[in-house]
Amino acid sequence: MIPGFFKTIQARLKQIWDTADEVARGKAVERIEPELEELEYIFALLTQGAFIGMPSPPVQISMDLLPDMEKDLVLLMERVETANEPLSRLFSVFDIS
Amino acid sequence: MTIEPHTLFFLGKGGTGKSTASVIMALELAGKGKRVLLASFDDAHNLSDIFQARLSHNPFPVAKGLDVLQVDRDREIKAYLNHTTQKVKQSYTYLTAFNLDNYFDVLKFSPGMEAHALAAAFTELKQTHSTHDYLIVDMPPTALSMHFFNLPALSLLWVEQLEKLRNEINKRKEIISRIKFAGKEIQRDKVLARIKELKANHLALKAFFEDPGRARFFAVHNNDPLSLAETRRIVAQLDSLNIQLTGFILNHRTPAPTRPDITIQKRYKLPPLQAMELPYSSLPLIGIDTLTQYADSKNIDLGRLLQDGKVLDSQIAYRVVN
Repeated sequence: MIPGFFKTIQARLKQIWDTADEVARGKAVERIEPELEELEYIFALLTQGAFIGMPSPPVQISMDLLPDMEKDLVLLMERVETANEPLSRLFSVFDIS
Repeated sequence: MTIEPHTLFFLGKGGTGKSTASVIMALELAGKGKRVLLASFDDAHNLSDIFQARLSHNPFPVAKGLDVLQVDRDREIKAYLNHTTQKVKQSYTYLTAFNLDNYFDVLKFSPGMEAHALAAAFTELKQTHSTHDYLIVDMPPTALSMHFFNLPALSLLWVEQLEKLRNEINKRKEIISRIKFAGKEIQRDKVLARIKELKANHLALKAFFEDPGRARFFAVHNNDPLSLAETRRIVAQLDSLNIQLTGFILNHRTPAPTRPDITIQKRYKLPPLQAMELPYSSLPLIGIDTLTQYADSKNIDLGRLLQDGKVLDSQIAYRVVN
């Protein structure tokens, strides 16, 4: 019985540790993640801006990168759709409610 | 070391005689036993008229050792867009790719596409005709030619900035992966790999243009003020791209008196580079026989522009005359 009891305690402690670890790791990157998202957005805007009505770099550069940028293009389209709510995006990034 | 033909570019204002000069040079080199490919990048199709043949993008033999072709810009643009569309369709999910079709129709008419089509055609020609000794390019009028020569430098400006930004993105991705996912390996960045590939291609083309051992540039002009003014601008623009002009070819459209005591450059305030004259011809210079007779009777030897290896720094020379 005693080994079983210890095992449960050990499992609980590990669970608590894992949760704390996950929270700490989440906290540690919570500023970098939106920054990364912004950089990716800027990159997409710079290279594929033509597809949402913005002047773009020499067209062949956009075209050469296009086949590898589906994710970025989808991100760009989403941003266009939510463009009328820039403040709500900013508030959610800085956790203001 | 890669084997590639020695490339000669003929530049100048529209109608100065770029095609005639390039054909005379091509016939001369082929006559000396060299394998020559003469390519027209000019939509005016002057080479078709000179050789009295319907030229296409496939090399057409017009004389022993001389093949001629006409680059079709529209065809190149279409092929490039089709190639990109295929790649997009392979890597994208169906819906995203489907929505892009309309944009591609518009991109056909994008101004940068023309210079890019020429660059793509040029790179392909250099690779597929590596066994030729010479590739002679009859360029389109100045504005498009300059876009073409400026393309690698301009693209590099963009590509280098995009590479920096992409590296910043990847740096942050690595930090997040290290902290959040305990260093789980992140996927290789295909976009960065593609950017590096583009950078290498543009650097190679830029280095090619800047190397007088691989590429030579000749400005063809007449003795009228407009073509001379444009020739001086060509010299200045090539200088700004770090490209050295090899020499000038003065094509006489009228029976002008010659002054052997004054050099062409002094007479026309051009930098003191190598120069040759194509004397006035009362007959239209059309057909191989007419051109060969003309070159023989006037003792024209454009090949001397290549033998005389000394290439002056045109930038310094240009400052002197100004």
